[in-house]
Amino acid sequence: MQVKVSFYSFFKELAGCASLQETIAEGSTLDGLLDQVVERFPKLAGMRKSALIAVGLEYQPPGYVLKEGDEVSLFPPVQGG
Amino acid sequence: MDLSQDEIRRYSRHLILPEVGLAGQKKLRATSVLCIGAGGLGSPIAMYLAAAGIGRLGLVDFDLVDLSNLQRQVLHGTADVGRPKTDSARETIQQINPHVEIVVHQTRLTSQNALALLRPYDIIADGTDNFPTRYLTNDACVLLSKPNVYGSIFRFEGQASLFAPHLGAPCYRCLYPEPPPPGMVPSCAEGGVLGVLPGLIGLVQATEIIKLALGAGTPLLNRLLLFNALDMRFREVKLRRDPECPVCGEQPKIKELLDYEMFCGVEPHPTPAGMHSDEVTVQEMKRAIDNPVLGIKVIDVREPNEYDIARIDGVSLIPLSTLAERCGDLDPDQSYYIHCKSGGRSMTALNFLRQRGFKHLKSVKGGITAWSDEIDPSVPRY
Repeated sequence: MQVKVSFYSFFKELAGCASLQETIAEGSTLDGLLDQVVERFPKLAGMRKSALIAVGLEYQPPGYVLKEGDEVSLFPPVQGG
Repeated sequence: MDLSQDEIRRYSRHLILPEVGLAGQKKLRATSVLCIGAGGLGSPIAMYLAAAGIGRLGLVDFDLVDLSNLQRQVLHGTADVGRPKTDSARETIQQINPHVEIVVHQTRLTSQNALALLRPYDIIADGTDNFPTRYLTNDACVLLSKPNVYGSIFRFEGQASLFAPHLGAPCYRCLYPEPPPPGMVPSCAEGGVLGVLPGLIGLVQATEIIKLALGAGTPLLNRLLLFNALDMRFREVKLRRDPECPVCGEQPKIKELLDYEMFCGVEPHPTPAGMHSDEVTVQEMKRAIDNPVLGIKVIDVREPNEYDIARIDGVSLIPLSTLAERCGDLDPDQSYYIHCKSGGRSMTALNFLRQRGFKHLKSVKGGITAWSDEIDPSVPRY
């Protein structure tokens, strides 16, 4: 099945794109999807545990089981003030 | 106490709002807010809260006004360059509204002073510009059960939320349990920021503060507001508390403030100009000696005659002249800070040990002379 992954702020630069469609196995969790994304974009690896991840409009924990067509957003922490 | 004639005229546009009215305006006057940072976010927060008639406004900032601040930090003007931000902020706020009690703290927020600084205030506004201070502000607010009105910005994007575990909302750590690896996230100084962006995000924060004080409307609890100025789009992510959060979860591990620079893996203070990346300051050396839990050993590579003249407690002497024979006694995986008299020989020792596979080495800039100047004047200079 397919899910959409969108990158925000400087994650766009680290990934080199704003979003992509990712094919994942049935029953994959958010954590599993991140494994795949990090493998594709190794520059994101260091930020993996420091990103806020939402599915649709809701924050979800790593164990969340994805559904066909889910839209996953990755937000980096920003520090400026 | 009733509003004076002058206050009634000043706040008339509030007073005729049914959601504010006389009672609401008095609530604002009875509310105290501490704004951490008098920079990009702190400027609109402080100025609009002052104009709105907040009772007491505290400002924490250690920094001086720099010309590069003026593009967005509207508390400060051209004539203020080089002055403490708290001084120019105080004047600007007094000019806007003399009824506001202003309390300025020209200091860095630290684990040592945070609880005492935050405790007297009802609401805390996070206008800081770095991760260690954000985690520190968060943890102090959670420990004191104070609402933390959060905002942060980068380039064209910003985020804001109201963190308040005591009101059922998450805290900053529920969203970002682990700080990013040091150097991974650019600061505004490195990555830039659109000048109006902190205005927008700071005013979202100021609005939430006023709503909290009034008890009006729907607060930004359990929601992260995300703004993109280039798209001119606001988005919202629904949040929830993390029951395993180390500070606000069901079994909190953090019960007192930590060393946040260590937690975030960053240098304790901005690196002074002219510092080599292999160097640390005497302040960092003191921290290592005072906190054995950090696991850093400090060695002195001066010669025994010098050691007799002046020495620092908690430091082992391994003269440079004996280092080749004695380096077998040292552990290549251990962290060492190395000092000498003024920082030259310690760098030689560092390079020598590094060639022999030692991985975690720092040379103390200025050596024991800097220690005498900056830490303990009872240590003789020679």
